[in-house]
Amino acid sequence: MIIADDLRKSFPTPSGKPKNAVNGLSFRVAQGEIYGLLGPNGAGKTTTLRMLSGLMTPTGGRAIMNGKHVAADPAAVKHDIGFLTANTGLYQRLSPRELLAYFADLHGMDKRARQQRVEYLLDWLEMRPFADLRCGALSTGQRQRTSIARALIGDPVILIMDEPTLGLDVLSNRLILDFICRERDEGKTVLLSTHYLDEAETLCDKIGLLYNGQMLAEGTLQQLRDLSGEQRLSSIFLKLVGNVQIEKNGNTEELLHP
Amino acid sequence: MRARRIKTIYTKELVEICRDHRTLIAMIVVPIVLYPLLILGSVNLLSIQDTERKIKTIRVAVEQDPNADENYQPNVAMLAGILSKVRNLTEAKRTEDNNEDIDQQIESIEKTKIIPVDNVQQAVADGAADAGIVFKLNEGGTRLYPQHLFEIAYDKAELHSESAMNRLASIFEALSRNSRDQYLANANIPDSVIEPIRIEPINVATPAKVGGMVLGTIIPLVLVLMTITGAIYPAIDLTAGERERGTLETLIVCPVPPMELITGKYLVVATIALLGAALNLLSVGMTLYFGGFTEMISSGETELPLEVLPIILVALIPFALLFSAVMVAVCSYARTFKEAQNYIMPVILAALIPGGVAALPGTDLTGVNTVIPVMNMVLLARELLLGNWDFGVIALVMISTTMYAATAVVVASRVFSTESVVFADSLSLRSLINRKLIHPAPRPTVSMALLIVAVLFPLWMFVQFAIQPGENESQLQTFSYTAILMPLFLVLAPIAVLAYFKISIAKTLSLRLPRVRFLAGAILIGIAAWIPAHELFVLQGSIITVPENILHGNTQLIEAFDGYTILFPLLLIAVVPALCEELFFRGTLLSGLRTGARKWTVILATACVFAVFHVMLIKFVLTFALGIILGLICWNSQSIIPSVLAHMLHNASAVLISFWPCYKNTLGIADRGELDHLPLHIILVGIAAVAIGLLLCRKPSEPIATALAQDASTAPAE
Repeated sequence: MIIADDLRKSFPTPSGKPKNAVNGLSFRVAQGEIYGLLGPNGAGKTTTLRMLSGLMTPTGGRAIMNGKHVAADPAAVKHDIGFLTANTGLYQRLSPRELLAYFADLHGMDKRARQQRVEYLLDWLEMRPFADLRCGALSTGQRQRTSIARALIGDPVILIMDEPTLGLDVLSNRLILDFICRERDEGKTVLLSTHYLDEAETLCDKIGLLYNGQMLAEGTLQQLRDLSGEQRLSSIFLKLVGNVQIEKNGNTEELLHP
Repeated sequence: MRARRIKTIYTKELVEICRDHRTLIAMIVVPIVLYPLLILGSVNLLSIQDTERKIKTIRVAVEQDPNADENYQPNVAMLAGILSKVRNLTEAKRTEDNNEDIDQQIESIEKTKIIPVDNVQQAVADGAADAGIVFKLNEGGTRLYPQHLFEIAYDKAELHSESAMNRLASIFEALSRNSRDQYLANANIPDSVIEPIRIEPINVATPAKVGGMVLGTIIPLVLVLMTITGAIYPAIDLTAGERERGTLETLIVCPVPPMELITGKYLVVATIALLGAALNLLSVGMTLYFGGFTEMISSGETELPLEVLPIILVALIPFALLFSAVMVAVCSYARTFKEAQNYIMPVILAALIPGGVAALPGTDLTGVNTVIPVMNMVLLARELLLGNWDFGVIALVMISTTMYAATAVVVASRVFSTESVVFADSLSLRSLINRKLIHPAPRPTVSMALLIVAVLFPLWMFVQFAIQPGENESQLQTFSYTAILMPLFLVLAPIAVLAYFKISIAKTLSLRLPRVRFLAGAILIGIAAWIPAHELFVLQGSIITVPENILHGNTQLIEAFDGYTILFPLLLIAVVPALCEELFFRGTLLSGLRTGARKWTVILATACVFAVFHVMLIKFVLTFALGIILGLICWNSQSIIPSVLAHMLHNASAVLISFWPCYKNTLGIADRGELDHLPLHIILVGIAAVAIGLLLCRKPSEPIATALAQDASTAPAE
């Protein structure tokens, strides 16, 4: 269960006037649900995910992950989450197997549990053919699978994924999406950000549309269709963004939160 | 901190860095292959050049006489005659021991080719001859004892020409000496007329000491440089490199505290630096030993004390730890490899300056030099090579270096996971130092407190050594200067830093009224603590010899304040130091440390720094114990007032005992010396009073955790 309550994040600027990256963002993700955060570049998706995973300190509001306050006990929250960053940075001189073992150790797993978990993930993400190659020699898809395995090594109850399918080919893309569904089916909570609206359409149980650090609208795909009168998510998004721009100085509360 | 996780990080980083060929080249290939090649190569080259210069035939131009017979040129004949004569003179000096030298000298004389030319100087300038001679006979002297002038033309810009000039000069000097001896003999004049004083230097240094001196100027600086060089690449790779490759975010999202992450990484850097230093040391040692370096520098009169090298390596450990920590701290600020390299260059240059100064002759390991980073290590290595073992100085070097290293590691851990450093969109480093972008905070962070200590420590040491009284100067001057400078360094300077970084001065210095029981406890401890302290000192004195100046400290103290009212020593010795030291140690330092560590860690660390600042190793245990008690009082009371009171009364007791004989008489200890035990009843009363004082100060005045949590919730991320 994820609760973001009036989350705010502003960054200092040289002029002294802070830049608001996330501005009063609130949403909830139920257990066993895939929630997609959608929005253009600079909407605040990554900053939100970083605040929820304890990497950044919010300047306002609160975040609760699996019943734990992120600000009060970030270490405990980190035990419960698996975080997949937007870039697939891996240790070039380690093999995927070594890398997974390393992160398992950092999660405090004993030798036997570590071995079992590593073998399980290698099988599940079809990583065996490249499990002992150096990460520096892997393809983009192989790297992304390794990154996902790394995020899952601690068997987290919440999975936070920033652009999980960025730059992947069709096959790798399909594999990752299937995997996310399987994780959801096992009762895990998944929060992901993506640029690919069609992907969000098929994958997410609930969608939050972010724009300028604020929630433009959220709900199931059907709710968003009803709200905007459009069928495709991309059209829904464009229409809502257009409305916000037109009604920038007016009252958009009703439209944004049906 | 969990050792297992640190070990995991350490092992992984070590494996990864050892798989990088760049590390292996820098760490192994350079010392094992490059140094021997460079040293042996240069030794051989110098030797070859030297030999070549000696045995190479020199061409010497002499002026030809156009009117003379073609087969007989007078100048050529004269030079040939001189050479022949000097050859015979040299041959006459031959003994069993100097055969080789004589052969070389004769060869040098024989390999002289005489060239008659029209213009000697022109011939040398054109390169037609290596040197030229113009004989000017009977230029001075008398008919019986004429003096001739031999002008040697040579080209100073050419090495071979200068070498030829030296060879000719030595030949002519031999001739001149011989003529002089003949003149003196003819005139029946003894040698002493020409040389009334004979100077004969006698070298009392052992060959090992001479070797130590030679090595002492080369090895320490090389080692320091190599240690620094060894730490550079891994430090960048493990910090800025991690950030640049995009793996840092994945690492800090793991449930591992930043301190453990950075400690694991730092230990790898230190390992590589030390391993590099060890390999360098081994390589240099072996090369010097087997490479004929000794023969080259001293014709065998020098022994290189290579057995000291492993000890130097041990002494190098704190330095490697320090520099690795500095490198990790500096590189932690950088987001890219290139940025880290830019940051590191000024650090290396800053390290080279004290290192270079230390290598200069005349710089010794005394005074403030013992606590200046890099300089103290270069000087210590030199002292060890010279066979000088001053354990007090060694301890000071080690402790100060370790203290700097610990500060650098803490700073690195704080910086490493700092939001503004990890994420480029958090505005960057400017947010750390630009006052406009700094959020107010109740207390300084651990790293800031330690940084203040690390900067102030050498400065304060410098002041301490600078104001020490000279031979005929009174200690009063030292006390007066201390009373003026202490508030400046230990109070005003930290307050200025706190004010700049918008940190609450009142909270940091714990400026609040305590409960009465803490005041009562502090008074009891302050009045009675000298008794157990004295007994501890006496016990320590039975194990370690107490220096004379400490034993006669009281007499010196009384002499210093002779003619002044007792209020003056009370002000200079009790009031000012107690106030300043408490505001600094239990104020700035303890407040900073408590934001990141547990109660006893903070109290012990503060007490340790407090003891180190007092420099006197013989009193380390006492000041450390006093620091623990004062730290405990301050922590529990959450106020600086009780610890200032206790400290002040403790110092005042020492003053009263020294200046008020009636005080001693009342206690019945008037006739007791510095290392005599006190009467049992006084010991018992003293211990009881301190125990009651501690009991009164035992419980915190309110839950500290709550207060800290409140502070933490308002403190900005570091």
